Amino acid sequence: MSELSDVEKRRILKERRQKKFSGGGGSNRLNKITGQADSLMSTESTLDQKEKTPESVNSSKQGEGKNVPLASDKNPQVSLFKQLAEQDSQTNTESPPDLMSMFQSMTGGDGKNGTPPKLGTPPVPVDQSVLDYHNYLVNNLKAWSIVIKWIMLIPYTYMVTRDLPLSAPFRLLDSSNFFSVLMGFEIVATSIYYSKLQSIEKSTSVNTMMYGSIIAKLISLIPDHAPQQKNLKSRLFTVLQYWDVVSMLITDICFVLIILGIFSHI
Amino acid sequence: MDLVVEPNLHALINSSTHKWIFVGGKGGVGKTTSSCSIAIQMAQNQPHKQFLLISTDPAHNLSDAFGEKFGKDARRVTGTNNLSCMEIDPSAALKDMNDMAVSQANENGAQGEDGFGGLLQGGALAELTGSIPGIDEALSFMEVMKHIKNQEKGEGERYDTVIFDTAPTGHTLRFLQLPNTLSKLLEKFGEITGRLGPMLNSLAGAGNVDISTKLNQLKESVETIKDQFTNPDLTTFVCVCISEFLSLYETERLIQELISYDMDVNSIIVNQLLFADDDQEHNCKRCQARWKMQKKYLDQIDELYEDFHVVKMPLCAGEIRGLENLTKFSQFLNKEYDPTKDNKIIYELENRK
Repeated sequence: MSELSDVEKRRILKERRQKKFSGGGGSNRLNKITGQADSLMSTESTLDQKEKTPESVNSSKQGEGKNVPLASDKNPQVSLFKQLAEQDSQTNTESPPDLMSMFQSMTGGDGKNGTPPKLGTPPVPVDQSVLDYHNYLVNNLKAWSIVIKWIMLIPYTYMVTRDLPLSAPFRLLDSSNFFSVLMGFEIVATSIYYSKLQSIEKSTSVNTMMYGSIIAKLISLIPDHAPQQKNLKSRLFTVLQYWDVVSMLITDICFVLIILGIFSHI
Repeated sequence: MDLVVEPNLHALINSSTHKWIFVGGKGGVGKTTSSCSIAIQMAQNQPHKQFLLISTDPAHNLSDAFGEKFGKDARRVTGTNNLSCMEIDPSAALKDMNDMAVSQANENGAQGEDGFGGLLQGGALAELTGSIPGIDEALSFMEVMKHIKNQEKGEGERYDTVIFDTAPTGHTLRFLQLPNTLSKLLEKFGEITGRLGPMLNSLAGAGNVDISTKLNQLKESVETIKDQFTNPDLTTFVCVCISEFLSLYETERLIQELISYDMDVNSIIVNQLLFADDDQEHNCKRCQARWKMQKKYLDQIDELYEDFHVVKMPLCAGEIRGLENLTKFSQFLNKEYDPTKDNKIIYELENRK
């Protein structure tokens, strides 16, 4: 086998070195060094960052920032300070929650970190067993809330139909107050139901409406190209949410009417 | 294919192509000693060429290393025919620039202390700019540009190879980024002058300085430097470290940064090694313990840098100062140190007057 020339040797060695430092090799090497010494030094490699977000030397030639003032990113001192700042920020693993992320978690989250996905975003594929468990919990909640509401409504409706003389604390049972009492009861019961539903959604990271309603799924497929389409989507979702509440109210009213009819004839 | 990588800098010392050699690393690892050693070996092995050793470290050490005073102008090292040294002094260079600006302003018609020249009297420009971060690196860079221009024009003292004794890591990286940074800055300037050229020229005053032409010239120089610094046949970076965790970590970071700048780096000098196993005569418990720790990191260095020239240099009994001691020490860069045969030399250095 003929011996390699010096030039060939240098070329082969250079290629070997480049191979070892590319494709995540930089961070691996730093990990190896810090791991053996049990050190807490940063293992983020500039080479790996460069591979992820390549910044071409010629990017400035593409006419970007024509109106960028001189004292900007292109100022060497400013860019050096920025690089130092970026290096410092990369060592921070956690940042305090900002206002937007807090709002997000209040309004429904983005599906990450235990928050259910926001309405309007296409549903993220969820494991079927998780979905089944979620549906079981929701149906369980629905069933129990209906049973408890109806158990409470039956004696109230009976009292109302009997028209008994009542002392002050029981005037709520008077037939003239029936509608307002019923509405108040429905509001309280619905609020309790929805808070329970939210806690279930949080624990399973599944949005009941997005996975339970075909209409919601169809609406989420509408693209967000124009602002009008975005508005339409949000209005449709609001209507769906209100319909959910209204349907529960209608169910209870129907039940009350049936009970009223039965007790009136007894 | 199993290639044997020599554990010495013989190829670099005898290189006929390299024009720029940077020697750098974390503070206190022996950069100056290593850069002086490389310069001495190159000068001895290539006596027909001229070599220049420049210190870009604001805390200059070359004068102390050789035991004679060097300044901002290159001066031959006593005892050599082809090795010169220079220590770039930012404050002196800025004062020179200030004085030039004053005389220029006065020539252009500014009247005494009322004019622009008056503003600069007393070294105002030097004071204003002297504390700007990165000014040292900028001045070193200007020196590099001056040498390249001289070489192209065949003017002034010509040096075949320039060796840089650099500042600790951060400063050096800023210096090496300058070509890229300046290039982008000049692009922007170019766009602006292209649109506002005549107006800017009139604002520049009676000197009739053609800004556009000056910028183009500067841009060409910077591009030339960029090309040269990224050519592995012309430029290389020699990392210096010691066999300890922090130094190893910094060396790895430095190498990765240099690779990101497309700069060639293929040699590492590991200084201050005890080689206690091979020194039975002068051996103590502390040396043994320290050598054990060094060996641990040395094994890691051998593994991580198997495709690099890793040169292992001994810790000497005394300071390596003066041309004679530096010459004795530097021989191990050309032919690797053998702890069983060469250990007498490290004690010979101790006996320097």
